[in-house]
Amino acid sequence: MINLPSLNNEADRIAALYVLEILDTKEEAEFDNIVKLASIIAHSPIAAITFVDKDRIWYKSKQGLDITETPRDADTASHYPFFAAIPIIVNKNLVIGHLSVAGHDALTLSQEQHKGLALLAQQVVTLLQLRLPVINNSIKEFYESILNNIPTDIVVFDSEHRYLFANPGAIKNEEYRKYIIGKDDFEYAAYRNRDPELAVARRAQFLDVKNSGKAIGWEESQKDPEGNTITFLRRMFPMHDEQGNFIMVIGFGIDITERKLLEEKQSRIMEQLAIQNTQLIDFCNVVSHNLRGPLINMAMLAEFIQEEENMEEQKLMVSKLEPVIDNLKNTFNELVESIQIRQDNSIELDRLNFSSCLQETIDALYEEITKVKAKIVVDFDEAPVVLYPHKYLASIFYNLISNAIKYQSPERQLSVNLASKVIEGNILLTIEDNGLGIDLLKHKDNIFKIGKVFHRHPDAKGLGLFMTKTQVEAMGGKIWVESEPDKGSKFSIEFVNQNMNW
Amino acid sequence: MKKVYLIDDDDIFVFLTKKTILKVTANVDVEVFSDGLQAISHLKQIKDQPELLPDVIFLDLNMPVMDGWEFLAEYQEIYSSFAKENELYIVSSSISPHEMERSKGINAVSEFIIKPLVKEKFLEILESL
Repeated sequence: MINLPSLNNEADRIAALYVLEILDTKEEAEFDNIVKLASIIAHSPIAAITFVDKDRIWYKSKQGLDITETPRDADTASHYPFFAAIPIIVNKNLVIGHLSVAGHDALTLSQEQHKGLALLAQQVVTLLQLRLPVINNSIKEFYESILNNIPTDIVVFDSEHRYLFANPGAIKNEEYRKYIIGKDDFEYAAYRNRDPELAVARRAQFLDVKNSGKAIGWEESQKDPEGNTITFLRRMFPMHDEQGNFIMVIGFGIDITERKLLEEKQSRIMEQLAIQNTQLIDFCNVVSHNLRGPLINMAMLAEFIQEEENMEEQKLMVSKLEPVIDNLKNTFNELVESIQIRQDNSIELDRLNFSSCLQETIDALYEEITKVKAKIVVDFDEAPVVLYPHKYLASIFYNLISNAIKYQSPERQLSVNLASKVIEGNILLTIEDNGLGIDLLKHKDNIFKIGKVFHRHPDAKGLGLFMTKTQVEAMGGKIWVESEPDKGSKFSIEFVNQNMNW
Repeated sequence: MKKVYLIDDDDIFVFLTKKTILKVTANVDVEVFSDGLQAISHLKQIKDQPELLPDVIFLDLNMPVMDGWEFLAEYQEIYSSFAKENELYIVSSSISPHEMERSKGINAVSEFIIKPLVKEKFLEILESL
């Protein structure tokens, strides 16, 4: 009668058996030899190595039999006068199968024979374990094929920062990828004729991870061979063995260039939106004041004209209508123009001569300039040409020079100095006058705001500087002012992206 | 005889408001200042003379040199020391809720009136004095 050693702990037993991947494999000489030896030792014609699956007994190797499997509850032992089974044990106590011998004559095994069979059963386990590297290799291939195909850079370093592994995401060229195994970044930099700068940085990061035992992460930008900036999010983290000893570092990098570009685009849009929002609020205020004001006056005048019985008074009020309407019309036109600037993103750049553009403004303001006997001094020698939309430059000159005339000091002859300079690929235009000036301490935040006027002047509507600023900023440039009351004002305008071949 | 200050740079509005006031009563003396600085300088000079101080101030917000808000900042500091009590109304063409909200935070302001100043409103103010 078969005396099966404990087949307890079925779940663990089956798991241990399946890990070995032995079931339903082909015949193998090594197992067959063990069966032959068992048969010789026990002097019995029949011998087999069997594994106990969930619901069957599967024969890996057999002699004197012609079966490959039986149901698990088959009582094979009772067919033979002699039968002995030695358990095949893994993980100390899990029985996964048996080495069995059987014969047609009843006999008893000597102690020596028993010992021999037990050793053979152990040999089966050894054989099974020898098969494991084959399994390990297929797992290794499995993981490598994943690592080699994901679009992330992955590298593994040993404890001395030498490469154990690099996937094609990290090093595309197969030859370089093979070369680097067992080398460090310094050797690789020398091999590729590269600056060791990056290797120095990487070594510092590696040591940081190794010494702290903690993962680090950072963003890194570099140029690809086409000169485009690519940004990587990189991480390095340490691996420790069961005893807690540092054994290796895994590093990976994800290309976040697209995300980065998107973020930059978004933050530019946000900035633009914030500016536009402020302008919109300013715009609403100026609409409510500059347009609503004259409208109320018109409505009141109309009402009074109707009520008035005195003809002279009526005439007086009708005469007051005209300036109100003119004021309304001008304000309206300027508002429309300032909206158009902000909508006009695709305006074309012209190659402009500062002198000739200024001359147009001087011609347009000829009457005013001669009336106040203004002195205009020009020095455009260093930067005579600018890339800019013609109507914007004309409007900048017009607004700033007419402001200078409007707010000149009554105590001295007006002089306006204009100059242009090249500064780091940009052009700086300065327009300086000796007029009334602006108290910047008081008006710093308001100077370029819509609807702000700083002097008592009938034409002051507060749109000029706002419009000039809008035009300058629409092209990516900057405008600022230095001023002192009763000394004068100096406006500076920076024109960007002026990389011209002079 | 009540004394009214009009602080506004808009000549036509001043002309029309004066007319409106005179239609309500002839018993009012209107003084005009075309910006906040002129008004505050004058008030500082006469703050101890009750016969010269105004009963009502109508203040515009958007003005050159010193606007209504700047005027109020200085006015807040001195109006309690005036030899005569007075009322101050903002009269603005602005319909911005932000500006109305801002005016509520200023004790010296009795009310925010959106232009125009109509006869009925002026009469109401006059009767409340």
